[in-house]
Amino acid sequence: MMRFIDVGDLLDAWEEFMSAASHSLMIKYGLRGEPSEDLVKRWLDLTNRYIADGQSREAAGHAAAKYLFPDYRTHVYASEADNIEALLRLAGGK
Amino acid sequence: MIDFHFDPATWSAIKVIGGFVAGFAVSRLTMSKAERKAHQQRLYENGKEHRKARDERSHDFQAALKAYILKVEPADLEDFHSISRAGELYFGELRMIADAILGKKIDDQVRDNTFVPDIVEALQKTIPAYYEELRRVADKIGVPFSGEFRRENYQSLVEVAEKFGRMRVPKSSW
Repeated sequence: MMRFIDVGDLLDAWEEFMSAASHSLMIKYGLRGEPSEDLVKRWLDLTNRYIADGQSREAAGHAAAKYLFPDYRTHVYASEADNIEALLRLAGGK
Repeated sequence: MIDFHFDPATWSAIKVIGGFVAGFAVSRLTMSKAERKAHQQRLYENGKEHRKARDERSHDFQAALKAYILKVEPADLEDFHSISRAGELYFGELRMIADAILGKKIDDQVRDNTFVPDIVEALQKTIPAYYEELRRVADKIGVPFSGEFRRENYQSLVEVAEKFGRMRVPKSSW
C-alpha cells in the first residue's frame, strides 16, 4: 500500500496544537508557565472523565486544572489594555 | 481476467515508480514541507517584530501618561502634546498590526493568542478612554480639542475584531 500522508506532518500539526493548548491553559487557569505536553494530556483525560461524570465543561476543566496544576490561579494575566485604560482614567481625573 | 501476480521485485518497482509519480503530482500542487515550514517561520517572525514594536509603543504611551499623572506643576500644552503623540503612535502600531493580519502576514496562532484580544480590547476600552480623557486634559489646559472616536479612523482594527474576534471565547466565561 502506498502512503501519501507524511507522518512528520501529522506530528508537526500535533505539536502546534499542543503548544497552543498549553498557552491557553496558562492564561485561562492563571499558571506560572506553560504546562508540559504530558500535563496537558492528563488535564484533557481528567477533564473528559469529569464531563463523563456529569459536570459541565467549564466546571470539569477547572476541577481538573485545580487537581493537576499546583500553580492553579496563582497568576493573573492583566492585559495591556487594562493598564493603559487605568492610566488614562487617572490622567483624565487628575 | 488479468492475473496480478508479480514477483516481489517487480511489485516493489511498481510501488516505487507509482509513489514517484504521485509524489511529483502532489508537490506541483502544494508547498513542500520545507517551504511550508519556512513560510510559517517568516509569518511567526513577522508577528514577533510587530509584538516588539507594539510593546515599545505601549511602554512609551504608559510612560507619557505616568509622567503626566506624577507631575506636580500645573498641566501645560507640552503634557497634552506628549500624551497625544504617544497615543497616536501606539494606536498607529495597532493599526499596522491589523493591516498585517488582514494581509495574512502574521502567523495564525500569534494572531489569535496575542493580537486579536489586544485589538478587541483596544476598541472596547482604550480607544474610547483615550478620546474621553484626552478631552478632559485639553479642557483643563484650555486648548480646543475636537478629536473623537470615529469608526472609519480605525477601520482595519474593526475588521480584524469582527472577522477573528467574534470566534473567541467571551471573557465572562473565563
